Amino acid sequence: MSDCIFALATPVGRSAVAIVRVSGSVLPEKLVKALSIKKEKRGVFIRRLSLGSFSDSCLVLNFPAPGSFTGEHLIEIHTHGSPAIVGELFSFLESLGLREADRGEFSKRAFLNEKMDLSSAESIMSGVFAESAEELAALEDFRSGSLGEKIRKLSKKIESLLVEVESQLDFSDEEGVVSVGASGVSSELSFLHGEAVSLIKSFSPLKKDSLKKRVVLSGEPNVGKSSLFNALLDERVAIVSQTPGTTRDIVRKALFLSGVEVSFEDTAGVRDVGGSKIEAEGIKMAKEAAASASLCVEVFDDPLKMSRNIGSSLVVLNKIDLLNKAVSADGFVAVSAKTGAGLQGLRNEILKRVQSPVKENLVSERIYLRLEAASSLLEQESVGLDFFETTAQNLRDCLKELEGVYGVFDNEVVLDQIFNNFCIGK
Amino acid sequence: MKYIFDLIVIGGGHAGVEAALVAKRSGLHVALITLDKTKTGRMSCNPAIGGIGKSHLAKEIDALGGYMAEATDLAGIQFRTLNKKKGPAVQATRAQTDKNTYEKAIQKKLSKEEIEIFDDEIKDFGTNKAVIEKAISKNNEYEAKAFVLTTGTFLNGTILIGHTKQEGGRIDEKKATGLEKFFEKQELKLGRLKTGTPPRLSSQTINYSLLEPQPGDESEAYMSFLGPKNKHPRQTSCHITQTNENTHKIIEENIKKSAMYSGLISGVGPRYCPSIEDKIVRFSEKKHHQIFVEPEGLETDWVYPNGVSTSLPKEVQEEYIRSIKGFEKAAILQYGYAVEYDYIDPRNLHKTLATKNNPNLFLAGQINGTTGYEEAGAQGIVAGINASLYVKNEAPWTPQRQNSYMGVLVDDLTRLGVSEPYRMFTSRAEHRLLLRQDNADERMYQTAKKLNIINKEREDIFLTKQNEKEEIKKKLQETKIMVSGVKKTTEELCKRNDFTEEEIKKITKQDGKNFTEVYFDIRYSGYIDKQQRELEKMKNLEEHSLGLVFDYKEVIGLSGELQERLNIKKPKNLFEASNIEGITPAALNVLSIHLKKIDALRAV
Repeated sequence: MSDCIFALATPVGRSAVAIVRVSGSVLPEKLVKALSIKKEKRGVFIRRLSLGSFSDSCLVLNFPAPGSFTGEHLIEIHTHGSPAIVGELFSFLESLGLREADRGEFSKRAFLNEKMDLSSAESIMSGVFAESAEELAALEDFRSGSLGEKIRKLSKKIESLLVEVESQLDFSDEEGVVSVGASGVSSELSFLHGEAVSLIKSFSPLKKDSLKKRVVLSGEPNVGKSSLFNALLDERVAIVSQTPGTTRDIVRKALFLSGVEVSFEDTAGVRDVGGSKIEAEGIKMAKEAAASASLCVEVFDDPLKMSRNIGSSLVVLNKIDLLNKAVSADGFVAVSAKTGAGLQGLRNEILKRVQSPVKENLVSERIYLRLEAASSLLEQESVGLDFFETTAQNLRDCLKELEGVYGVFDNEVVLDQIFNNFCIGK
Repeated sequence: MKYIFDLIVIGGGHAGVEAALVAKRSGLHVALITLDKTKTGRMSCNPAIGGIGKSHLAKEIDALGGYMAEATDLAGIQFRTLNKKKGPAVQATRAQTDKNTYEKAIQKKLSKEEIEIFDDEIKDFGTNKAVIEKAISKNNEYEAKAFVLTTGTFLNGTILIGHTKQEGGRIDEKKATGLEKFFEKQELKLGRLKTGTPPRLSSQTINYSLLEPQPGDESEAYMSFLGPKNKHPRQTSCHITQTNENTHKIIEENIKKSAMYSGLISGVGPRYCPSIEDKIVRFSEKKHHQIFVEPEGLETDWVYPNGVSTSLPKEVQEEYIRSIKGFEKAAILQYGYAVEYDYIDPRNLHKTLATKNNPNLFLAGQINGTTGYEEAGAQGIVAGINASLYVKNEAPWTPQRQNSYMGVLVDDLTRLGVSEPYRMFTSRAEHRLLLRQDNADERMYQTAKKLNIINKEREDIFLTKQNEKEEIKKKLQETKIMVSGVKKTTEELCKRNDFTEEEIKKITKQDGKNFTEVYFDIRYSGYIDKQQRELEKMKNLEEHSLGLVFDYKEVIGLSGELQERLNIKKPKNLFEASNIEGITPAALNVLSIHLKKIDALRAV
């Protein structure tokens, strides 16, 4: 028995249509009544909903359990895509006792009700237990599912090398087994290592927030970073969540820019104290934050002190309302946090910069770590008397790592192959 | 007549001998019953002990006070170290033995230990419910508290040469009858396996000048940790020759006459020991197959041509043998034959090798579907130890995969069963790097000490060696040198690839014979840590109870076969599930996800 939840299924912001989904094992009578639908009747209805001081014409889709995405009773309400309408609809649903869903809760319910037809357990793990729908969409498994095939191909190659090495160990006294030198094994190893590395290169690990774009505001004290930060976020257009800063000195807020979630970090305050030690510490922190950010916004308030090209940073000149004469905004964006001038242009520029041209191909972090471990096991030096037996061990461990992702490996398979390939036995 | 003993061993092969000896060392009153005591300890196949994976077993038996390795040292006429350049863990000692000296050494040992041996054939057991009270032959009854049964290939044995078929476990020896009925009553699952031997030749008729000699190693090697105590006899060489296209043609033309290919044989033979017929059919592109010409002893003219086992008719054997270089005039002293025999599915056994049906009946050796003297001896000692513990009413002992090849053997057999005669390979051991033949004494010492089955002489030799190793290790820890500006102990250098063992030896001015062992102990210590972590992981699996999973058909993502198997076995937790045949890590993942799902549903 699960309670009734709702969530916006379309990007936050202005759009032609906004879709709010509602799911629960039992729907509140009041909601059924308000929508004037028959609970068990599957279909599409046009309804005029009274929301606060106004009403809107909505499309209502009813999916009675179990024939729905979540396997529960599910209703989709399509309204006009105004944040104001969505906001009112949210209040309306809350007033009926529904609550806003947690991240990924719809997917989770779908899984619990066996609605997600996912063959790979690994993708269920990474996809459902922690992630949101948009992260699911970026996961390789959900996108193309070709990683498994790639890993199987690599495993097969590693297995044949293992067969070769093992036959050198267990059957070295057999005429059927041609002796292979360490250098041959070694060059095969480095070839496989190369393959593993290039496989890994085409993927990134899905970490918490890895799809979020992080924008860091930095600059000298009093250039108006904080007011810019507030100005960017303050227009109540689209603040969806507020996560308290994990580091005390970094204030972090998230905002949706045309459906892309961007989290802004204000490093203000760290350089306020004059002591050189703290100053250094502050610079270090800001640098670290900037280094891992999708975009660093350098804020200035004096055109004379401003450097225009700071690496890949976006340079912003604030407080243009205080300037006597106009500046030609070449290589930077001129704004006034106070008057709001240029803010929309800045948002557009930020969005342009953070949207990476190639969408990342993600795998779960666990898979990624296994791929990395497997790859490093293939990186061996071909020296020492124990090269053969340690190589065999590393290849086995490597296959085990890959097996943790997909597929099966066992000792008997290797023996089977040796017997099939070589004439063993006196 | 009626006899009473603490423990009775039935069968005088390599398993039976070790079982009887260890029971004696455990302080029991033991009897060995065999069809013909003059053949106790006989090497019915090729006269050699050891080899890759096998010397590992022989040395573990030795470390538990067994006699196989000592007898090998007394009878070994050629010693070679295999895999010298492949690493210490896969290095192995192989000894060619004088067949007659070997069995005489075994028989002498048994009589010295005052083990009573009876020439008799056990037909049945007398039971009280599940407990076996006596072994019954035609004229005698032998009472005991525990029984170790090692019938080898004699259970329903059939000898096949060409189209002729006769009963027997070895050529010219009768088979054991009667016991198969007992096993039928116990509803133990029986299977049928096959093995074979080559024709034996007379050395006087072989033209050795045409053969390539294969001498033993120059350096002295011993199978037993007791070392030079057991003096080797005079050393000799083996020889090498090979089959040719003419040989292959003869065999191809007569292939239908082979018992193997005429449909007479239903048992499964070992893939690693194929008959010459098999080699020619399966690897038809090969123009030659190597033959090792092995003397069966110093005083005998019997020669074992290793590599041409066969079940072709006698006249074809003569023809193909004489087509081989050096064998042009060879006389066959005994024809090659295939032997088919019953084995008991070892999944009917506990890891102590006690049968699941009868708590005091232990099985060891070929009856469990294995092949090889070392595999038999290892099981013999495991069964003998546990039968003795049973008699003394003490807790059983099971060797573990992570510290011995015996553990791998017993675990593989009882968990997975066999599909062909089971032989040890180093690749079967996942912790291979730690299971070296040179540290078998170290790996088995605790057990040997606890069970009190090694004598003072053996223990002293072990402790002396350990002290020497400690000294070497200390020296390695104390000696420091500058390496690219940083001070490093020589111990640290052992793990690096830019310093060889020889260089470190020189730096620390050591030449102790145990240096190599210490060097690799250090070098592989990382793998010990890794093994430890894996064991921890296994422990974690134990904490995930499967008690709430009532029907595995509900677990999505498991194959139907696995669902059924899990429904039958009903594992208590993930660890038990991981031990079930066919359960892969991927399947374990599916199970653990299912558990999470149950948790989630319960939490709602």
